[in-house]
Amino acid sequence: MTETNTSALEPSGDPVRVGVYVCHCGGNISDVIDTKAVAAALAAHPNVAVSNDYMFMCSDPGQALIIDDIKANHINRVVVAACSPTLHEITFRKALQRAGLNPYLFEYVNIREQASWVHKGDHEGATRKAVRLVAAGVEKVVRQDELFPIKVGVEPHVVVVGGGVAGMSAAVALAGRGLGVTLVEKGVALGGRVADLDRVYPTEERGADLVQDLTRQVEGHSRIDVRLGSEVVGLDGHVGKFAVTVRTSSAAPDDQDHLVRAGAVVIATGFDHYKPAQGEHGFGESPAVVTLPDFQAALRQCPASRRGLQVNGRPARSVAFIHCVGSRQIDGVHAPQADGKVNDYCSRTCCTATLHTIRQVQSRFPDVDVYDLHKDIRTYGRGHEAYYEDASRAGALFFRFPDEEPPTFAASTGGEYAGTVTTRDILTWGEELEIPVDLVVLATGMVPRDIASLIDLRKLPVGADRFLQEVHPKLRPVETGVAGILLAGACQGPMDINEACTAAQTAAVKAAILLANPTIELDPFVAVVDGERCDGCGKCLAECEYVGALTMADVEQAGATVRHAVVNPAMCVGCGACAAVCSPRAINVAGWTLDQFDAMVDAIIAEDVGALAHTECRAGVRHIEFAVISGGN
Amino acid sequence: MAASTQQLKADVLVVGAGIAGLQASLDLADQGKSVVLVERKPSIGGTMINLSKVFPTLDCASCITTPRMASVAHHANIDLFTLSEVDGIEKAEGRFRATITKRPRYIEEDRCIGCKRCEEACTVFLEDDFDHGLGAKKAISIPFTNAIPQYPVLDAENCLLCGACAKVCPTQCINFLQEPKQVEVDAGAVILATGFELTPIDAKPQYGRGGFPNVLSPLQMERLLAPHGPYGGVMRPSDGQTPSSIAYVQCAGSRDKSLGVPYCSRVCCMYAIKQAMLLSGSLPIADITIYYMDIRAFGKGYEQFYQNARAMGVEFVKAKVARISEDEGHNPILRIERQEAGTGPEEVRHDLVVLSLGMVPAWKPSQGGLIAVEADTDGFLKSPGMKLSPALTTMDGVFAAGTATGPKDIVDAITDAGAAAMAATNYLARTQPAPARHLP
Amino acid sequence: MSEGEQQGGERKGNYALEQLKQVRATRGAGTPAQIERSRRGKEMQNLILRAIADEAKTVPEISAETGLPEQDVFWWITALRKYNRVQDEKKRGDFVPYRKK
Repeated sequence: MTETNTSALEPSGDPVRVGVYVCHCGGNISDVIDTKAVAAALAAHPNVAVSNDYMFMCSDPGQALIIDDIKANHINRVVVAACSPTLHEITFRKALQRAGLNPYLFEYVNIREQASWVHKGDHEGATRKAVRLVAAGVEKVVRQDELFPIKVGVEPHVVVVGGGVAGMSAAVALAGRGLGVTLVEKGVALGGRVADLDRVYPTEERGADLVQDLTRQVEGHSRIDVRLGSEVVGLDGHVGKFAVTVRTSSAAPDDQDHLVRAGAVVIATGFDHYKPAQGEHGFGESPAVVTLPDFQAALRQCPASRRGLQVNGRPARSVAFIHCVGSRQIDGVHAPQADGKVNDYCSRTCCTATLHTIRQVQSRFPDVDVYDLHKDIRTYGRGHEAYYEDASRAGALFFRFPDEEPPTFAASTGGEYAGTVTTRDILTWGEELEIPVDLVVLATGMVPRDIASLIDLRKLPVGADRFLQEVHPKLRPVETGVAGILLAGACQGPMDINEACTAAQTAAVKAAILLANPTIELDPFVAVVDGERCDGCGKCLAECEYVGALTMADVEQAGATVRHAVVNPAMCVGCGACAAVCSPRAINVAGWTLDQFDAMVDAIIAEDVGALAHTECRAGVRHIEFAVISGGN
Repeated sequence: MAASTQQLKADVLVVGAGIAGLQASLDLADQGKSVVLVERKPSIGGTMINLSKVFPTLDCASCITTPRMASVAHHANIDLFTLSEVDGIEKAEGRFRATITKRPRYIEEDRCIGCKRCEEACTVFLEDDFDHGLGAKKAISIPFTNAIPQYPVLDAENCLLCGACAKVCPTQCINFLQEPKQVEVDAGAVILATGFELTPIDAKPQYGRGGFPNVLSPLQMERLLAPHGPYGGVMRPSDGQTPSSIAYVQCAGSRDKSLGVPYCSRVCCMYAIKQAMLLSGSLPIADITIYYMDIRAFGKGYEQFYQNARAMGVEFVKAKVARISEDEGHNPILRIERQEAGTGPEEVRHDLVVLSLGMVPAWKPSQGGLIAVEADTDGFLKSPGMKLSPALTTMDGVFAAGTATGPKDIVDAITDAGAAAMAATNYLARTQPAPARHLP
Repeated sequence: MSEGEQQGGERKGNYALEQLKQVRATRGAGTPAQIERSRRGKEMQNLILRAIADEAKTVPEISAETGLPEQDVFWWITALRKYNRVQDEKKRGDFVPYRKK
């Protein structure tokens, strides 16, 4: 495949007229920054033709201001000073487009995170800073090249990593939409964690039945290729056209790696159960202390008999369930995890799972004494609260321990019971209680699977909680920072089955949107070579970290063959490492040229916006368009 | 009438243009599906556009909602009907036939330029429903600053027919004779995003039945906290005083069988914590107390948000609030029973109290109309495929998004909408012969 | 459906008057209760605006001067504030004083 980027120099001839729009962000900015003063200061810039402030620039009337100025006032460059560009850069580019202006003749200046939020106590200082930041934005946009998105042909195929309920849900949804799917599962069977569950709350369906239902749908679909015992070991390419290497270790040595071309990748790698540390509530020190998943397995195997509840061959006449084990941990109270941090998040599912389990114990073994030790009972979901009520009505005793004082367990030697749980109970005014128990069940939370090797393939964003991180929980809830790589289920954070399937189907719809058309458009902020300046030294090549993004090639130029840097725009991520080492300034990131940076720095240190020079429409502003990068092989 | 009925054909009919309906519409339209979106209120945006800031990121609600509203309004694949009611949807031969009544705004949309001169000229002041009665609007008014569409609505019930608006209108768009219009939609699938309402503030006699001016609903507090809210700050409705002591009563409309709301409403803990944080930002010396049973901060980043609120000095008191009364100065008095260090019931006085009301469905199948799907015992739509196919309803081809199937926060409602859009897309692929473009 | 015919082209200056005549004839121009409410509203607006014409006052101060209940005063202040008839002054203690614009 040949990727040429055509870069024509084409001065447009119109005088540069910039429109500046300062957003109040509903008080987020205007409570600190004098937005009127910022707009007034920028009005003095010789290239600024219109400068206004408005309550919500992102709203429809806000966008209409820009569109009207482009049409009526012949604005041909736009600067919006507002919140973070991650929220609304696309919103405003679309507005420019609707007004018939090239959407990249736009600069977004963040005066919320970079001014109002960080200088709350200094209104004047924040306002001055905002003026300089916006002035820099103006200086940048007057030097902005007219850019066009990179068009990439898409592969109508998706790789789904993980064959639990989330992965299977996503695969079935995508295949139903007409897309091909490769479903990659590390284990020997589909089903993931749900396959381990007996009954699930609140529908009381069997985990095995749910898994079977989905497995049947997966296997019945001709468009889904299931790869069991397999892992993703390579993830090259980009949205629309990833090259995914799937390794099946059990296959013949020369047939282990299978290359799949896919337009998008859905990650559904799920979670692990938190494993308590040695000695945490007595775990590992006494057989009387088990985790909730282990207890559920034991309960499933325990026959209904007159001998009552038996766990690990021992009677369990009195059982204490301790919530929040491995979740809602507090610095200084709980031992840190391997990365030095505590798990400060709530695992969402364990409260209802615990009460659901308690209900099973109560209905099968009504003579067992049940104690529930919690911080808060979080039975938030539809039908969850009933387990709490029913457990309480059936005689479970609920104790609330203080956050800083988790219950302890001490095994007894030769006593009637296996040991004693000691806890303080807020509900009885902080009284210290000793509960004789045969068994302690630790409601362990969720931790992310160890998918470091997958994360490393594309530097996928990970949150402070070590789960994979979405771009924004409301704006782009299942998208990662890497375009085309989507999240489904508990790899993103604790979820129950219903929530994981919901997330998976949402990931599927996002993939379906990406792949709905034969081509998708990528931002053109990639390296561009100025053939006249490039001396073929190759320093840039040594700096480039992205395989296939930059090569040296012999090109015809003015009748001679010269050696030049050549960029593959689909592989280039626009990091700018090449531009930093290019002394003749021959290679630049489109939309972020070194000339633009120089001008921005000059504007930031300038005392007076009005004193900045007027920039004529110069031959230096280019029109950069890329050839379509084809789909297929 | 029949002659003027507008006929439309679409892939999917989406009922309700709150955040879930908007997201579901976009997720369909961005795949190339045609959508008819019907909203009963004069603007799209639902409850979310009414909020100040949203947890756990504290982004301003408008900043998240308005771009989606604008995208829907400008989308080539979406036909939007506001101030319109779906009277009924019948299923026949695998298609859905919906009748919609578009109520009159009494202005002609193709003439109106949204200049607001009518609103300025109108002399009839009414309680503003967008500010939940705390603020005022006129009998002809644009619903709120960033409403979409930006057209005023004339409240015919309260208009005194003085003609002042028509006199100042530069485009002569006011039409007192406008009649409802009928629209018929033929759709391949339906998504119900009918949303929620708060449990009524006057439901509980022990809490004063909504009769105390300084006992607010959480949405009223959202408006007080919102930029350009009715008062320009947080003040008491009774006298304009800046409160120095504010309390939240949790589970005021949830987990309460006496109200017929035995379930947890999922959002009240978090919105109370969020409002408490915003209050301690805008009123740094005020004491803020949250009376609660369990703090249910279960979502991603929520527990950390809760702990931040505690660190900021918001006081969390585990107590039951048995009764609310007020003194002669309209100061609410709470009779509480502390669970920690309890010393029997006691009475505490605050300047302002917010009842953390829960969620009930905005449309219940038992009301009739709309469509013959079934409700569950909680009144929300039944989810027969709750675990694996969360968007299903009891009617094939009809899907649910957002809080139609039970309380949800914004994050969960948005994700839910995506799943509903995916389910509807796949239903169309199975039932409607037209092949999707480009896909093999 | 008179509306369909009217859309598009210029309207004659008295179109609204014609329409109003028609609607008033069929529907009446407000119930007695509405008219009374409107009259009472105007009266309260005037009382409040007069009280703060020369000097900014807080809600309790306006209430004391006009004899109107504090809650009603505050609602009308909110209404007048929204429609630019009243402006806020610098806060005094726990109260904002309002002045006629």
